[in-house]
Amino acid sequence: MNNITTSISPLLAVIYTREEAEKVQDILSDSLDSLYKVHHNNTLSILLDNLPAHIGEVLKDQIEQKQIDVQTPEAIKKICDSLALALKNTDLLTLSLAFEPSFELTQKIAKLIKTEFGGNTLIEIEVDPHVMGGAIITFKGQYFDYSLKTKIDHFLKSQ
Amino acid sequence: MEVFTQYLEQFNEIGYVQETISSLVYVSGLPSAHQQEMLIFENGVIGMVGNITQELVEVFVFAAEPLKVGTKVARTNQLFSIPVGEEYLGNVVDPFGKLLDKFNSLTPPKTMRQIDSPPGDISTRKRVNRTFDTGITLVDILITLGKGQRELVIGDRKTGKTNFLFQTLVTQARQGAICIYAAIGKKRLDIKAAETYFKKQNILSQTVIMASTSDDPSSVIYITPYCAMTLAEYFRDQGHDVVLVLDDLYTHAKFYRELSLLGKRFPARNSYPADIFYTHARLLERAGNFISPDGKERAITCLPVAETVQGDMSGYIQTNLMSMTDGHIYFDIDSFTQGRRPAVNPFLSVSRVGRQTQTDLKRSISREVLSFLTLHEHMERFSHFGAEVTPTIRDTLSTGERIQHFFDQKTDVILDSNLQLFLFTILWFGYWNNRPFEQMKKEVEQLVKIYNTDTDFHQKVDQMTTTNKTLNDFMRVVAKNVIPFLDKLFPPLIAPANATPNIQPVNSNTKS
Repeated sequence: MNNITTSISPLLAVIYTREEAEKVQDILSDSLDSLYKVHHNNTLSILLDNLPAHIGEVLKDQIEQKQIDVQTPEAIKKICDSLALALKNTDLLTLSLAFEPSFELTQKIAKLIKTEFGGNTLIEIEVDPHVMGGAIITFKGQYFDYSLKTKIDHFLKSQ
Repeated sequence: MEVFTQYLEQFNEIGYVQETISSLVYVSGLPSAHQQEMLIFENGVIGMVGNITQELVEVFVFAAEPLKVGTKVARTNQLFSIPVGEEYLGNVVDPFGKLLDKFNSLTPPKTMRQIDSPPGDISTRKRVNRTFDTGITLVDILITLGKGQRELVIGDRKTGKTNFLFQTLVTQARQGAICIYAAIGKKRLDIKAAETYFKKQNILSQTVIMASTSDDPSSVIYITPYCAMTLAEYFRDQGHDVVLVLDDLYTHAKFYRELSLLGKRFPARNSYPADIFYTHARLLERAGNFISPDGKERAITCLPVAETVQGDMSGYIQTNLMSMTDGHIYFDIDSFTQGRRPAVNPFLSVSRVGRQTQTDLKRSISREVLSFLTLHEHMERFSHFGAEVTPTIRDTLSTGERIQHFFDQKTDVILDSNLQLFLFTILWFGYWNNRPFEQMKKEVEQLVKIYNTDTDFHQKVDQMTTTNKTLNDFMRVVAKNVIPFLDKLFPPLIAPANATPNIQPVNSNTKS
């Protein structure tokens, strides 16, 4: 079980956005549903195949390096449950931008945030044209408005 | 929306609605939210923080329209407050100070006060020492109240509690007090009836009706008595004596139970939340007799109302309220069905601090009457056996019945305290012993009219009640000065065949 717990962090480090996290949670849920319907080896291969490639690779590496037991359905269930619980307990940082960023930019921002706030942090991008420029950041209930619209509003009020 | 954005930028904290259950909303975020803090939603709706857990903040929402999941909410960093001011006098308002009449508008006062402030400590309080007149003879003589007292009005539905309260408010308004009638979860028709009554009695200009209707959200009904008490404290601090009626706290407890059960709090006795006592105690403790900074006494006299079911005074909420008030006036359904109005049972009613405000004469009369009525009640039970009664017992029963008829008082009749003592002493003297009850009532009405119109008579009665200290002394004065006057005023019971009436007209100087 300790091996499983320590293998979760590297997995979380490669899950960047909330959308990805929800997709992983759905795959974990489907895998658990099939656990006792097919052979457990098939369940594991279904799980590894359905996960996004970069996440599946990390999971495979962790299983090999940490010698995690995958011989029984119960062992696979433990892996799935631990990962699902870890995903549930992540922090979410919401960015409101005036434009839709590219995949590469999103990943770059996500890596920067994970470096600053820890691997448990996911990001969510909201596109809001009213922002005009800059960003509005919401994290753990804190709200930071660095949008261009607010700056212009303050400028006009001061005049 | 603009106000919401301002608070968002000011405090840099945001929450999102995750779950809505009736008047309760669960919000994520807002890490620095504290209990009873006012929150504002992005659509302008106001809420108050109720409970805080590690993940979610429970918010009481004061709007009938349901909120959507995902709605943003901002902190205001202020404890929940309402505007208070003299602008409310003469109006029917909701707990937030807005007129219930949607066709008119009211400029909101600028002063804000928190609705849940701590009660004054003992250094700001003074012993209750001023009499609180209700204008109803039975209560004023037997269950004397004091200004600053918390007296529970308890009884079954439709036993005359509200009529009694209205008469009390009229009496107090005429003496210069500010009256606040808090209608908690009442029907609109009942609220309108209250407004109509106060307008008819010309006391609306000194009265505020703060009302939440039965179709309002539970959260709005829950905060109504707190808002009413806040308004009472404002008027007290302005230098007025205030009378606050909370009608009724049993309904308030039921709506708070609804909120607590929706909020998944563990149900205690009768499914009420465990803090139901605290909910009412912290409200009623804010009433009392206080010393203002300028050294003057100012009182908030609170009359909470509680409904009983089939006369059961041992209910949970009822006993809670009885223990946290300074007495109770019990409206007996049996007395009501027998035609007693008001249907107050003086044996089951208590006034814990009212007696210290009584004058010597009133105390003397009160003791005499209570002991006599106790004796009368024993005699009545004895007479039910059907055995032959002695003349003494017959006289006692007759006098007791006469006293009961004397205490019957119509809802539009309000008697001055001195006049009550004067009239009772005449009764006790035996002047009306041989007269039918109807004639006694007519003569009492006539004396009331003379008292209200003849200044000279008014002054003489007041002087007599002030100078005499005991019932016996007063009876001697009545025998010497009053009975001859009454004999001239009222026709004799049985006139001799050849005699002509010898009634001289009363000198009727109208009061200025």
